[in-house]
Amino acid sequence: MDYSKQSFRYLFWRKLFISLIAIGLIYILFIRPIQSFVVREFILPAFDSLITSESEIVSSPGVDEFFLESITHSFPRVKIEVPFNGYFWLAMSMVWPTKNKHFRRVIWNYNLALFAIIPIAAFGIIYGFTWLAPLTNVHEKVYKALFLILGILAVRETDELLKV
Amino acid sequence: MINLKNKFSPLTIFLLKAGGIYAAWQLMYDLVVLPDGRLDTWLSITGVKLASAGLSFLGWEIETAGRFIACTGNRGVEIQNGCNGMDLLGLYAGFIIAYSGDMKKRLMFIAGGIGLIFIANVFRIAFFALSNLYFPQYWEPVHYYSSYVFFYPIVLTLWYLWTTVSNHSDIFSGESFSSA
Repeated sequence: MDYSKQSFRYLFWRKLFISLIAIGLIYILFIRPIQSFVVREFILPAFDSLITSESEIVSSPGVDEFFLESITHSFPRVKIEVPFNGYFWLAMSMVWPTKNKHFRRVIWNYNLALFAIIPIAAFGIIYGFTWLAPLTNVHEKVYKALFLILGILAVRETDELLKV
Repeated sequence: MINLKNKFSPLTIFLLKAGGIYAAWQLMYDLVVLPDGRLDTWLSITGVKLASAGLSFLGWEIETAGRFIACTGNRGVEIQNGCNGMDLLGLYAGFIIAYSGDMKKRLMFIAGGIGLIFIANVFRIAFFALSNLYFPQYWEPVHYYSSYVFFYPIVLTLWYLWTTVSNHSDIFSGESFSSA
């Protein structure tokens, strides 16, 4: 048995678990409270001011997100979140220890793109393009799932390489 | 006809396939399953009943009514649609379906994983009831982080295991890898 290779694998897995715990704690203690504050104090009031009193759309606060829904139930409720939310940090806590630059870049860049995608979707729904609601929900589920998949694939690829 | 296999890497094809499956599942959920309500209702009520049976067996006094569960005399928890583990079942199965592998093993993995997630959800519901009894002031973080504690370790571990069991490593190019 090659003990140096085994120890590289051990070190990698140890690093991964430390990363998951450390980033999880940083997210719970610092990042999410800041995001919740920003959503509550700035983002939700800004979007709220765009909704007219005769609109059938209402916004309701969450914690680090807010919701857009129809009082006549003409479209499904939509969750509006900030980029770099929990799924980014969970995926990154798996990707960082692997040093997989490609996956890291994809996740990072997509979160930057979310700064445009999410407000456009929210503005669209508020201004009456309610067909965007199910698409926004689909987009949310797909991008979050793909982040987690990239995280797991990065871990698997690194473990595979350290095995060889 | 365009040959996707020549045009895109195996990783890109896999991600497109997974994305397509998730999109189809979410649309089907939003437009068919959720308005119909029967599957969500069954999942919520069965989860509540099993959590109640487990907690009662362990000595707690539990009250239930449909989707509601509470330790007697305390605030109850309602297991709503979207909070009953249903979306996690789709998340889990989508990866297993998209990632290449032997069909028999794949079906076993999907069935076993869905069973495990369902059991995890029963534990989660029981935990909600107990959290309302012992630390009700922490309901929001308990509720929010419960998925990360009860579901994601199972889903991510099973995904990882599936990539080892299915033994299709052709999607790992190694190009993106620097060093660990």
